Amino acid sequence: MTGAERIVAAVLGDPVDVTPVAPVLLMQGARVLGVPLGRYFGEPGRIAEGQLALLDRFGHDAVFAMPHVVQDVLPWGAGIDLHDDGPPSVNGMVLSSYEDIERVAVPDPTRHPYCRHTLRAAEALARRVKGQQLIVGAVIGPFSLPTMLMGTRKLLSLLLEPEPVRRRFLPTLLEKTTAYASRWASAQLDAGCDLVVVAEGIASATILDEATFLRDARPALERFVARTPGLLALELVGHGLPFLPHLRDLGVAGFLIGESDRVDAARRAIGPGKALIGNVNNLKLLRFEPERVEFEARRVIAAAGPGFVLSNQGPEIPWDVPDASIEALVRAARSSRPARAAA
Amino acid sequence: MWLWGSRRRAASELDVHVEPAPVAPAPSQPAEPEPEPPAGHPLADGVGSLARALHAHRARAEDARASNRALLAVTGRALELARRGGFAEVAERLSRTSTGLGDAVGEIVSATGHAAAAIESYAGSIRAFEAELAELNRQVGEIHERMAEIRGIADRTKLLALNARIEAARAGAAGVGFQVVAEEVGSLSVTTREVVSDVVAAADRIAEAIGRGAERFGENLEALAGAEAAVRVLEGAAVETDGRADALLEPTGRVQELAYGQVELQELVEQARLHGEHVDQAASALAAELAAGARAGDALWLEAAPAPARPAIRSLGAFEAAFERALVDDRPDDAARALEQALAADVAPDELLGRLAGAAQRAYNAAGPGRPTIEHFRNARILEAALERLEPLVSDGRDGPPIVIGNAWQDFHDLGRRIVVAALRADGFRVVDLGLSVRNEDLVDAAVREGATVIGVSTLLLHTAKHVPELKELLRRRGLHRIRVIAGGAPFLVDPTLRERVGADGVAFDPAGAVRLVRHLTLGQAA
Repeated sequence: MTGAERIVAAVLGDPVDVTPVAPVLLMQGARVLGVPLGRYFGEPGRIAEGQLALLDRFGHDAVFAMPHVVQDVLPWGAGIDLHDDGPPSVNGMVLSSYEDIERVAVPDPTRHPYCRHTLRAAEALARRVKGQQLIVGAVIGPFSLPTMLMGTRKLLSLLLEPEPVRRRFLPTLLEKTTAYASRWASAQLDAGCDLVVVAEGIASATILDEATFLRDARPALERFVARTPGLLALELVGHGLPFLPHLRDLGVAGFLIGESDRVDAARRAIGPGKALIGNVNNLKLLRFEPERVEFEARRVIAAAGPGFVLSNQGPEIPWDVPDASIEALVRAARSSRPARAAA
Repeated sequence: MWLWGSRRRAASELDVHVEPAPVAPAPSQPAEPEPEPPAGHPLADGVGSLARALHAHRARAEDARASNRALLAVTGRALELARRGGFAEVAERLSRTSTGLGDAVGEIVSATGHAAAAIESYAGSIRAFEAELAELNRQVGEIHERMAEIRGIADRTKLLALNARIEAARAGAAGVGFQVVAEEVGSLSVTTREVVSDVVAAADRIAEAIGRGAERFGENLEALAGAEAAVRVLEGAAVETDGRADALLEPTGRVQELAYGQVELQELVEQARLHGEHVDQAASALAAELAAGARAGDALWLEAAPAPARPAIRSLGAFEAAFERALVDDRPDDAARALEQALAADVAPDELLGRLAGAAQRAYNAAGPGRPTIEHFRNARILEAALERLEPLVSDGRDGPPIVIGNAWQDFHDLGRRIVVAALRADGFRVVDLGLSVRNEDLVDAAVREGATVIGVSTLLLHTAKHVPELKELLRRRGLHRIRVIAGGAPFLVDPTLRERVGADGVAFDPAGAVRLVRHLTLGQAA
């Protein structure tokens, strides 16, 4: 099986030859090309080159057609700072008041030069590895994008405002971010991505109580999925398990889960027919020896059952994680005997 | 310094260590009367002081119990981990498997040896039989030779018989009898030749059969040679495996030792948990007794205080309970109402300020660990509103120990920092909040300027947490060893070893933990 076939089989619950593995390698593209991280992110045209070099290096099953998800704020007029030892950071908030929500226009991400480079990277990867490796894109989800446009504190404040204020601003905000995220995800799918990860960093039980999730976050996710045709995978960054039962019917192909969400419990929560992707602790990769990484990966695979893709939790593998640990992750998957029974 | 003025000191002692006490009166019920004592009333002053001291002791008992409960949670988790998976059973199975593997390999070695010997013996038999066949073949050759001689005799006899008949014909009638004999002899020689031909043909068939048999034996011998070689290889591999199985015994033994250690650790953790439960019971009982004493003191105080001095809201305890309930239920309006009622009743603003932290800690503990951030944020908003209402009313300002706090350089996630700032301010600290993405130099300069002995760094991202060791290094270079650095944020929560790796003097995982940590560091330094 090719890597793409393997992951698609996992998504569909079909048998696989070995457990598919998709470590989220983004910054490592700079290292493998031997360029400083800041420069790598400043030249998004090199993303495809970096991803292909990583593929040669580790032989995993997916490539990632984006430099980082912080790029999503650029079309809104926000700036980002590039660093040589970590992902970029947003250097200011676009929405400084609730009233700005009404004033701001939904930008077209395909018209921003940086994002256009990202789309070209997806096209280049599609030309090279389509059908061989799964080509993965990513967007910040509609409920979490506001945290990068106005700050987490202001978004939570808006969620807690008296009803008239909420009613005036929150639906408008979420409609705009939904329209934007949907357009951006569709553009990535059109450019050649097989699957787009929807990162919802603020919609987990780490941040929200259940009532707020059901009232505000889930409807936004449902609207986004309904208007975005294509394979999507949802990542609730943080503790997602308490909310997974509420997402069984969401039309996504899979869920990315963190270490605190046990894979067997997550499978019971979402039922069959959707992939689970995760959940080796990305920060522990920094301090575990490769043997321990392999052990942890094997343990997760054994607990997961069918429909599982081995990956890391959290947004990406940290910069300082040694190559030997990434190799151990891939090795664990390659030597695995995946469960055969249909989920 | 931490203790700021005698009256404020009394207030702080009343409030700073408050934690929930299940055996104490429910927050909505206590209505503990402890309004501001009227000046110049010695009995009221004395009883009021006693009641406040009892409140303080109760609060500390509850604080100890809360800490102990956190410890119980940790030991509970440790116990769960220690019990998980039947490590001892796994070690035992591993040991049995290792031993069984050694035995099995030994048997394989022995069996392959026997098989090799049997093959060798069989090959020897075949070789001997092949020699017998060769001898048989040789004897068939001899038969051929003898038959050739007989055929020659028959030929010569036939010739003699012919000559005899010729001679008999010459002899005429006298030779008739001799001719009959000659014809019989000729006939015998023909028969002899035919018999010899049949014998030779049979010998040829025997020779062919012997040839084919010898050929088969040759093939068998080759096959046997291959089998013998394979058995030798198998024997070698089995011997090597046997050695490895022996080598496995050593790590297996170590795993068993670990398993025994784990069992012992499990017992120790169980003992620790048992002790913790005893401490919890003792602290609960102490807190209950102190609460009862405090209520009695409050009642005495009310009796001692002249009626006109008794405020409408009647007690700081009632305010704290109402405020706590508002925090738990996320009712900012209720919190504001309780505050305004207390102020309308002329309860001193600084006393009310002193009650905020206790209420916040009780609300936090009521929710328990794993509380979503949005609930902390709701509390922070209520606390901030109360602080903004009360602080301008306090004539001497908040003069608690200064704390400098900010997000790490390049970190733009302000939520956690704002929540902690609100909790620290409510606890009486003078918080100098430098905001988002603060350079280490600015944190240090502010700490020096404000006389702070603690710098708090908030960070959501791993790579911004890396600025903590640089901050420590900067403090070291500038000789500011008395300034401690504490940190908080998601990376520290996910990776318990990160604190040590970045060299922070402490980390906190929630607002209550931050308050406890800062108290510990500042009070420790004051002592």
